[in-house]
Amino acid sequence: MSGLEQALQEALRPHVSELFIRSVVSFAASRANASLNHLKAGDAKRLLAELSRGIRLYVSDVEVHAELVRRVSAALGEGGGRPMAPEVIDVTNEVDVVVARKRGADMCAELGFSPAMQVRIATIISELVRNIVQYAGTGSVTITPLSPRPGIEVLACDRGPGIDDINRVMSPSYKSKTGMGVGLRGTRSIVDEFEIHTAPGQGTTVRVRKYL
Amino acid sequence: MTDEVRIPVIKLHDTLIVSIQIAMSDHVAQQLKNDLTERIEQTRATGLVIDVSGIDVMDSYLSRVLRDMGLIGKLMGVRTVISGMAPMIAMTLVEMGLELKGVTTSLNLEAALETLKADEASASTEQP
Repeated sequence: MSGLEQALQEALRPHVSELFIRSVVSFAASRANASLNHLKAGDAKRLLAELSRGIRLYVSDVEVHAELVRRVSAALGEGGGRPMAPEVIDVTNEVDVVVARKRGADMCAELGFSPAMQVRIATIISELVRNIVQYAGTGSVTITPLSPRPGIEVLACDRGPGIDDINRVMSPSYKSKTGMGVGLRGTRSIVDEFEIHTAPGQGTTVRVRKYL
Repeated sequence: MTDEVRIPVIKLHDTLIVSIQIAMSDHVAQQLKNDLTERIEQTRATGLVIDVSGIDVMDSYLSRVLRDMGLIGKLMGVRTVISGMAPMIAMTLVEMGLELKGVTTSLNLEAALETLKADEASASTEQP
C-alpha cells in the first residue's frame, strides 16, 4: 500500500466506518482512473471529486463531509483548506452544455451536496447554457461555491439579442415555440434566488443561487 | 469536428426500441425523429419504447424531444412508452414543472414490453 493510500485512509478516520475505508479510497481511485502508487498531474482533482462522492455515501452531515474533504485534499497536496475557486466556462456550442453541467455536478460533489442536488444543479446549468447557445450563440457561465451558507451560484451571461418583455415570457401562460420561457420558469422554481437582467439588444444575464 | 452518432431504432417483433444513452445534439435529435418516422412506416410497428435509463440529466429541451417522439408515435397509431427514467430525474422534472403529460412510463424495458403486449392483447379482445 502506497504512502498516499495510507494517508487517504487515515484522513477518513474515524468518521467513515473502518469496514468501508479501504473500499472508499480504492473505488474512488478506480472511478477517477488514477493510480494511488503513481498519481499523475491531472489526476488529483478528479480523485478528489470521486473521493468526495464516495464519502458522501457514508457521511450525511455536511460539516463532517466538508472536514473530511479538507483532510483528503490536504493529503493529496491540493492545498486543502483554501476556498474552491469559481469555474468559468466559455460557451460557444452545444457541447459546452454538457461540459458546463458536468463541471457543475463535479463542484457539487466536491462540496458534499447530495446526488439529488447535483442533478438539480446540472439541470439548471443545462437550461441556462442551452438558452445561451440557442439564442445568443456564445456567452459564458460562471459556477461559484457560496459561503458561509453552503450553496452554489450559477451566472450565465451573453451578448445576444436580449429578451423583450421578460415578465410576459416568464409568466405561466406564455407559450413559446422555442421553449425559452419554460427553461427559465423551471429554473426559477428550483432555485432559491433568481435574478435576470435583459433588454432587447443588450444581451442577457441570469444569476441564480441554490443553497443546501 | 467529431463524428456524429446516429441513435439506432431497433425492431423487436412489433415493437421499436430507442435507447438514448447520450446527450443529443440538435442534429442528432432531428435525425432520430426522422429515422423513427421512417421506421414506423417501414415496419408497421404497433409499439414504441423510448428507453431513457442512460440519461443522467433531463432538461426542458430533452423533455420536448421526448414529447415530440411520443407525439409522432401517437399520430402514427403507435403505442408509446417511456422506460427507465431515474427517480431523481423524475423528481427534478416535477419540481421544474416539466413533467411529460399524457405519457405512459414504465420502470424498465421489460416492464415496457409487458405493458405493450398487454395493451395489444386487450385491444384485440375488445374487437366487436
